[in-house]
Amino acid sequence: MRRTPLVVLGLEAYALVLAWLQSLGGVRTDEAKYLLNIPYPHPPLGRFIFHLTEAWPFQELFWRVALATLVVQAVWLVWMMAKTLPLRDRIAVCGVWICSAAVLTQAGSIMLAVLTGLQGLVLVALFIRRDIDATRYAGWLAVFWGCCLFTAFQAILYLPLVIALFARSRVPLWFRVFGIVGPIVLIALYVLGHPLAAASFILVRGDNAGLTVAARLAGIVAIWGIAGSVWGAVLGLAGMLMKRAWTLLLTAALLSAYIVLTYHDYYAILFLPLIVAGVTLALRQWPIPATVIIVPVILATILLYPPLKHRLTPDESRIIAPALTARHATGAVLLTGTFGHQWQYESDLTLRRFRPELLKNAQVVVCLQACPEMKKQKAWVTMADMPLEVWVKR
Amino acid sequence: MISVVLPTFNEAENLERLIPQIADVLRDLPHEIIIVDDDSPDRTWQAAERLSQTHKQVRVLRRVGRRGLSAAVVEGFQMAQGDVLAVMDSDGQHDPRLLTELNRAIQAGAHLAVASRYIRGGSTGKWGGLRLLISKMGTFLARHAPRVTVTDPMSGYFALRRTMFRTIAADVHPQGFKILLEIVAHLPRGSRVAEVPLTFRERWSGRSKFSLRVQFQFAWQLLRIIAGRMREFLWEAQWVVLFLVFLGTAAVLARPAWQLRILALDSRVRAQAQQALRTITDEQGWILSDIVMVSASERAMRFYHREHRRGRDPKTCHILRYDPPTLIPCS
Repeated sequence: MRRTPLVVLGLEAYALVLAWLQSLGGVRTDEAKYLLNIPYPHPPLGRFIFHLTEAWPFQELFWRVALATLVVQAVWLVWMMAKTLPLRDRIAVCGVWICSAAVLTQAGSIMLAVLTGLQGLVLVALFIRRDIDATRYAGWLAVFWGCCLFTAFQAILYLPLVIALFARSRVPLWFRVFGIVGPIVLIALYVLGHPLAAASFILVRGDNAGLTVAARLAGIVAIWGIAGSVWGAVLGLAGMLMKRAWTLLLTAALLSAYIVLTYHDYYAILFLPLIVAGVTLALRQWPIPATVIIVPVILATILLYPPLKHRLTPDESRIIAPALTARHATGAVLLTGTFGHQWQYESDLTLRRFRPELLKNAQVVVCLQACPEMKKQKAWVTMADMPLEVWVKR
Repeated sequence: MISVVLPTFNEAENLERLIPQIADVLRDLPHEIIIVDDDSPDRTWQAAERLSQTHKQVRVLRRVGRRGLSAAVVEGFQMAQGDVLAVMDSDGQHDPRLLTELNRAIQAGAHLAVASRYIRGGSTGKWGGLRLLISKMGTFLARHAPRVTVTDPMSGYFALRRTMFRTIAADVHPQGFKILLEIVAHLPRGSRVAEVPLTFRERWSGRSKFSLRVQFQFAWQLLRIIAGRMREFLWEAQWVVLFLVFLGTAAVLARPAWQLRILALDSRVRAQAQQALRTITDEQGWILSDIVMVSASERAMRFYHREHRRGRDPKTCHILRYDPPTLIPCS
């Protein structure tokens, strides 16, 4: 018992390092969406909580540390999940979580996928621990399921786990149906009241429209590899297949189908709970030394980190926006090309997409792509020492 | 049969007086007396073994390497063979004559019978101001923590049915001094509790075990019981919370869904609205995710444009006619 505080402190130090690494790159567009409570594409719960701290100057750092702590300290849930295993095996399962490339690259990022992954871990842990009486918590499970759906739409992919947990409980049938379907009805009602949410979700999820079948399948393999740092994923999948864990496999299939539609590295964290559950099941079947599990996972993570890591230098918005504030710039800032929400996060000024008609009321033009037409504008000059072409009115 | 458990620590002298008194009080009842000694330095266990030779009902358990009054009582209960399990102090502060009243209360149907200092006829005896104050404060807190109310949950003198002990044994944490509080905290709802008045007497000899450490252990025990009650409440309230959350959320979400229903029901209006919105956001240089729709009809929609600037989020209301796309401020 005395070792527990030391382990917690050690994990926390790891979480702080991960949060710091994420902070080097500044706020990314998706993170800015959640920090500013921008309504699309996801439901409001997670982003509403983030936005409550909008006035804090250290909002970004606070949430990076908080989320990194949640992800890293979630290893105690993994520990609880693997309760029936011998001590060394439990440590091995926890090692898969802590050392995976998904945790290394995602802990400390302010992404709803991280929250959904953690919610998935709760569901998976309850699923694996059949000794915990589902009847006792069925009501809270329904509330939790509602919170999952209202955090991010992709939580629906964990539906098989939710159904399995309710099926295990001994509450009356209509309670179970209500518990599963009620939150889904509410999220459907939310979508009806926010049609742009559904539209933007469908729009973004069609990212992979131009990809071939082979490319999409490669994406699925890549995501699994990242989530379990290759060896963890192999072992996890083998464990699920050997034990015929159909609920876990069905959930994995749904997640994989989702990746076919839209591939992003950060979705790897959605798979990680299934992988650690699979590893737990595998270790019930096969005696595998802990080092044979953890060492390859760590090696794969080290190899995967360089191509997956986020930028370690801040976005141009973090340099340009304060410079504009220092100039006491007022009026609108026009941005050419595609720009992310981090510009809204970093800037105090009104932002608009560039149109020549808007120039007369604007004070600043930021050229994210080349804007040769600005050279013809005699009333405008470029700002010096900017990482991008920035034009200001004389 | 009644089993009387006497937890002891350095009570060799007091046992010599107490055992004959108990034997006399219970002479007409089948009984056993179980002395559970925590390996006392004054060799209380040896005194107990000597007494067991003259009093055949006496059994002795010497606990080596284990300490704690509550744990001693639980071990005594576990080795007891009686249908009624009683516990009392071994220092003379508890009158053995109450054993028959406690037993009678159990035989009359109570699951638990407590000798209470705080009912009519009971008293704390000659306690000084500070000890009385601490006891009353502790009793007040302890009375309201468990779900079954007992006027003196800190009493060390009580009896309970063996069947009841078996029911709750797995949940009881035998730590610290106040085993009755632990038992009361785990009694099932609807348990019948009887109380008899207890006049607390002066200790015959030896030193009190009521130390600062014991008080901290009591405080921790109380916190644990309160946490358990909160956990119970949360489990019991879960379905109520679920229904309230569902109804509240549905009420909040129903209005915007109703006001924008035409966009879901009519694909022609939806397409027109989409096109008009695209045109206007292009013209204005707006980002689509800064638009929040409020209501829609066949010809127009109302929406807010929000700046989503950090710390400031000014919004302006607009009405957009679909054909041709025309933007006007809300009146």
